[in-house]
Amino acid sequence: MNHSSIIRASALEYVRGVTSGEFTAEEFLSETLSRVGEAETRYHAYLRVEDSQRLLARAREVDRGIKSGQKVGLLAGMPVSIKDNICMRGSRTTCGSRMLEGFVAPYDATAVSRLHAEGAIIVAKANMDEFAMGLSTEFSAYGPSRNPWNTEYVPGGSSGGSAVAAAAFECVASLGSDTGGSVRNPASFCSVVGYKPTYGLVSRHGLVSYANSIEQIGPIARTVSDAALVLGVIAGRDEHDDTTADAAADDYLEGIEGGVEGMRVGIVDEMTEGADPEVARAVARAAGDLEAAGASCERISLDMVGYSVPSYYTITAAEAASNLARYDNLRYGYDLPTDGYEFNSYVAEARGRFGPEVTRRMILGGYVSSAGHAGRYYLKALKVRAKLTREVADAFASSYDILMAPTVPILPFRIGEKSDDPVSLFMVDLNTVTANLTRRPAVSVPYAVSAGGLPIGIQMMADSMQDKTLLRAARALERKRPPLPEVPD
Amino acid sequence: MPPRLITTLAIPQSGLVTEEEIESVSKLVRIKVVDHREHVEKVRDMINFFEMLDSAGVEDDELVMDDVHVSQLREDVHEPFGGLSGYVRQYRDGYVRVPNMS
Repeated sequence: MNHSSIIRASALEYVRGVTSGEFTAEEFLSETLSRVGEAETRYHAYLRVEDSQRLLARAREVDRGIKSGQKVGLLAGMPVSIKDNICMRGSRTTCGSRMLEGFVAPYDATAVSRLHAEGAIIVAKANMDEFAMGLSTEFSAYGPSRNPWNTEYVPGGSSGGSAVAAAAFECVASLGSDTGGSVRNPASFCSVVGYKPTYGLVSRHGLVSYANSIEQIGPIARTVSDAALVLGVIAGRDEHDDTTADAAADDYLEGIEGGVEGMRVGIVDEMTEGADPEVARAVARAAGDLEAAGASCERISLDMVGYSVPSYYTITAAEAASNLARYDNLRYGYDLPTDGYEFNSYVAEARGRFGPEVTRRMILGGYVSSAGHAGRYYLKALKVRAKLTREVADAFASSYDILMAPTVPILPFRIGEKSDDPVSLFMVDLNTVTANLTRRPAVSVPYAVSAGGLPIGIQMMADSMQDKTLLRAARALERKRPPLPEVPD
Repeated sequence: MPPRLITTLAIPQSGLVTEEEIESVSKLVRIKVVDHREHVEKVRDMINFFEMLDSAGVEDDELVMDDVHVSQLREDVHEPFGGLSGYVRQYRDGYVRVPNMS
């Protein structure tokens, strides 16, 4: 492998290459940083790249460790990026918002500590919709990221920067956060793998809160096995997050090549009917591939999916309004002197500078959870969530190992095409929010490219804590799918 | 029946939500709305969209909450955190400067 191509290595290829002496961590990182410098002029995947000299010094340490036979961790100097709502000590963490422009995180998120402990080198903080509210990265206060398959199109969101970075070889893997599809949606739009773990599998400690009862940190990578490798590093019980499951660390690569022989796959009608024709055809072909690999596929109806989007947005808006109430401009915020302001008007003035989507969601959250309206919206949304959870649990308990659908029912859209129509944007989440509301694991697997050159991803979902089964099915689909074209450069 | 086709989704337009109500809520959550059309009208559209929940048939469902006994929670221990004042924006002579509380 020559140096200009080594950055195209998968995570597993990277680990093999660096530990066998095929290349050094420093060489790989140096090539990656060169790539970042060149690619960022077109894609804007990153908000900040860490100091290159410090990163290269860390890579040289890893190389010395490898040469002297010391433990260098599972990831052995692998360049990784993280979404800018995940705290890393000493690094600015803006959540894509001007409100946090000067905020330097005083501690590492647990996911970050675990990446560091296994030798990862975190090269950059990735762009995102402001406070993860959006699904196109157009709501970043620092400007949108661009889809490497066609820079006039959105890369998806809210973890759009992470998906672009993985797709455009600006890192080997990235961490995003998934509240309603924010890992899977951009993974689908950029033709990379996006994995949302079972709720509680990965610690949220150090993830800036948006909707605590729903969101999870998840890996974005170029292959299913790479996502499994990173998941194994970041997953497991964390004393700093009481919502983490009492599960020991696990190797999610174990059994991943086991195939789908005998598995039962349900293709969800409500997520497939009405999809773009090219997307619907891709789902049909994917079902055929899985059947050829020994699975049985059949259609399934989940009535509550039709109500999942209003339920999701009601619940997340209420949680977001509560979480964002902490931004009072006293501890961090805009450069706004306090003189002459009464307390409430000062806070309102500062918050008036949030971007449009955050402003709307805060008002929305206040409205749906207020005393006069909670019964009409918020409590009803919780009931829909409970009923949807029962439907999904029944489907897994009685019949299916995997539920399948397009990750996104439409193709990637042009920048600006939907940003003025928030309700239309809501419906892009139709297929992804069910996994979040029901706390099930789900993955987006790149499957095809449309006639117009835009990626199509297939979503698979499994029962709670069946992450290994899900990864096995995703890997089987990845193996059976037709070859995909290379991302244009 | 729930909506199935995203291309033909019928969004309720009951008009029950008034702009005055939304403006009142924006004051309650302490957020200044500068561009009326950009925010208030779109929030009204979003709330109208949420009215789809009325047809979900869940009115009579019991909402079962997961109760967690206080004994299952971790001990509430104060952990000193050094250097916090460095993260306060307007900190002077040992005091945090805040707006008038009247």
